[in-house]
Amino acid sequence: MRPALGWAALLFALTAAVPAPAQTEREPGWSFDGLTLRNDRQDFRLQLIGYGQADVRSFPDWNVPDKTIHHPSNDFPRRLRVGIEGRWKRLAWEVEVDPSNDGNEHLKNAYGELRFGRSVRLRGGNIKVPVAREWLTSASKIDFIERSMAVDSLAPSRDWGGMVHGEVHHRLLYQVGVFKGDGRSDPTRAETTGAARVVVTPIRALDIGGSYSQGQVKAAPESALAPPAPDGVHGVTPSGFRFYVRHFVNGTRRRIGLESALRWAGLSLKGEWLRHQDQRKGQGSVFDDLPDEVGTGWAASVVWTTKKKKVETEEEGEVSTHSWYKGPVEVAARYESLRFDDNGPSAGFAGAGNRARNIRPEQANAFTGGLSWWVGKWARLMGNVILERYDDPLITPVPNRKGNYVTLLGRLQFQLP
Amino acid sequence: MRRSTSLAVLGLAVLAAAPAWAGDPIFNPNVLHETRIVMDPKDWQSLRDNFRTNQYYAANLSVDNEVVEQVGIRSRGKGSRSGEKPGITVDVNKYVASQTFHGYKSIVIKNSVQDATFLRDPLSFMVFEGMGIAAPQTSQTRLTVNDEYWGLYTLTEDITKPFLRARLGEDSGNLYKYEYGDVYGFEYKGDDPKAYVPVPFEAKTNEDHLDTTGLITFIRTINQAPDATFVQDISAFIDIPTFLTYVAVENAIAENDGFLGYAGMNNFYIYQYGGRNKFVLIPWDKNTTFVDSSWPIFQRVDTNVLARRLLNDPAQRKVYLDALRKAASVVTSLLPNLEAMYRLIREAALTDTKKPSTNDEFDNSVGGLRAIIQARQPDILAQVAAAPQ
Repeated sequence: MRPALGWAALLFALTAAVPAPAQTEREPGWSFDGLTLRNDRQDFRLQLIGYGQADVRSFPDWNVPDKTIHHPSNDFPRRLRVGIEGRWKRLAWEVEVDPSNDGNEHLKNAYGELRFGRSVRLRGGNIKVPVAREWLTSASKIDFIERSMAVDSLAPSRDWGGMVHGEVHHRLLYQVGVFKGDGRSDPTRAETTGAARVVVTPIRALDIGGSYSQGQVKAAPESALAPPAPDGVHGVTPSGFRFYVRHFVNGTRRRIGLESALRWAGLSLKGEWLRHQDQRKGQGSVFDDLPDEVGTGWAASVVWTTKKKKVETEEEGEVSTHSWYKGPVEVAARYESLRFDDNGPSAGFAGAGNRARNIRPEQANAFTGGLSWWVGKWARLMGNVILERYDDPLITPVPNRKGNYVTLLGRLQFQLP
Repeated sequence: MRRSTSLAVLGLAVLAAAPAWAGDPIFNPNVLHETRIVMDPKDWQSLRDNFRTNQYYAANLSVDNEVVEQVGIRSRGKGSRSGEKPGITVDVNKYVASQTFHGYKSIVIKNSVQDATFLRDPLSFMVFEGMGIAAPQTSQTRLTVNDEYWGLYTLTEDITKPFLRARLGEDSGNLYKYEYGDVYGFEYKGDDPKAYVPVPFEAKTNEDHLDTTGLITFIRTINQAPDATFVQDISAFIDIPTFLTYVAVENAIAENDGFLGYAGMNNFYIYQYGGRNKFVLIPWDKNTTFVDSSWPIFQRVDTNVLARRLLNDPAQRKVYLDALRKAASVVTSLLPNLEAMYRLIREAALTDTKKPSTNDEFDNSVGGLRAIIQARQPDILAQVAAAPQ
């Protein structure tokens, strides 16, 4: 589907949704409620879902060298999601596509689910591999325009697989699954991957959780005609600057994640730590084994919302964060760091090459300040100021320009209710 | 002063064996430079073991104690590829985006294994410069890898955009490196770009949006322009005196593997100026020059369509012979430079245990080169005098 058609579909749906009258007393049988077809007697619901995002990006205090930033200045649309979700008795489903994405990225969530109660649900299809809280939060509901560096660079993606998940007494949330890989359309995809995530809620306002995934990465064979591309992860900052290039990896891929969220009045404090480790068997320059590549990142954020939030609940694997339709304003700040190194001894020449035995440590730090306003039921405006600092002259966006780099981001988001 | 002007001046200065140097300091030929590479020893071993591949390895490089970190290095060359004494291409921005060293994104460190004298490249380029043809800067250097002396090398300016800007005044055009594939002398092979690119013409600029129309039209004109209008037609594509001077220099320096090489064209770049259908040749890899003091001045002219058709014209033949006379004089003026450079590099060459020749062969080869250069001018002048005008 072309992006223009996607926008048209989204706008048509928005238009159709506007005049929907509030229903105080529902008639039995089939009925339309805005964009939802429902039959309460049959316990059936079918709903049109979707959102579109348009981003602008500017760099007020630095001239961006060619090919340095991995996002266009005007990203129209950045995302354009259109789909349906529904439920019939114990069965639920969702299919969502994004016609704005290139290649085979068009298909997003596509799954069916069998519900045996809140505590046990079986889900199968193309779904998010359950590692890292922010990754499992919809891009339409995250606190900042860009996900954290750690999640953006180290987290898995969607893949075909099956998962059992549920919530026990509002105290324990779990997700355990097996997937065909860790990113269906990712060129660095691992093979069969197992993943699990557990979140406990010891007190009503606090979530603490952890996640783990493991799979096998198989390096492409050497070829004189077409040299293989490296399968490792890369490091990209919120401005879009890639400070760490992909390395050649082969063997076991592991991710470990820790997360926490604390809510108090209109304040929300969140922390996330993620570690990604790839073996590099036979990836040395003489086909020798190299120490594992390790990427470690963390982010801490605070969000203050002008309206009282609803209690956060994870439904359909995503976080419903607040009563956004009442038009709250959110003020947010985040500090984050991402570092790459190897787990071998720091001896000898530390190289930036993608087969380096001793990987030269590379790190980026960023601060993001954000403002978000849910203008109404269908729109959200966001503005972010990103401050990145580079003290290593070899990993500066502008050659040899150490110091601060400011990036401004703006977003207009339309969303189906 | 523009660099092109300053290099022309310095070319004459070098020919006069003056120590002044107005070019980039790392290419100062009056100094024996010190180049150091620090890298993972296993990577260096791998580069040597797999010297036929272009696999890059990360390294820190310094020239005369000026360091550039995290460059990419790889084995280079065709016939000169060696595992014992690898020639090296340095890609300065391979791992650090937009990084440059003295304004260059790449530098070539030649191993000179095909030239026992180590002097043919720099001396040959001096003749081109002395004849007004832009050639890469070179200098001699000791190379150490992880503190082990790896021998005497030649630092060479790579033909990239900084060279084009400095020497030709602009860099927006199509730069092609002649990539040897088969015997070829500018014959027309149809209008399909694949017949020309990437072999034998490998694009080095504008790779993403290369328009080969100009190149193909040039080659078609070389082959299909009528004899009566050939000179006029071809003058739309090249500055004919400059081209004939280029060919004259190659025969004056007895180049065996150049534009009129023993197996077709080889070892040059061709640049099409941006927005124009004008082409110019740039010399490269001159380590097979001065092979004979009595090298014929029309050697293999008949094997190249462009050279043959131009030299069939009496007026152009006269231009060519005039250029040869001047080139002969420039060749003779190399002698003081030869002696100065020989003194400069001799100790480094004698202690170079990686070179394929013995120390006696080195000294004897320099003696042989000296003799050829001394004899070349009278031989050229005699051939010119005997040539049909």
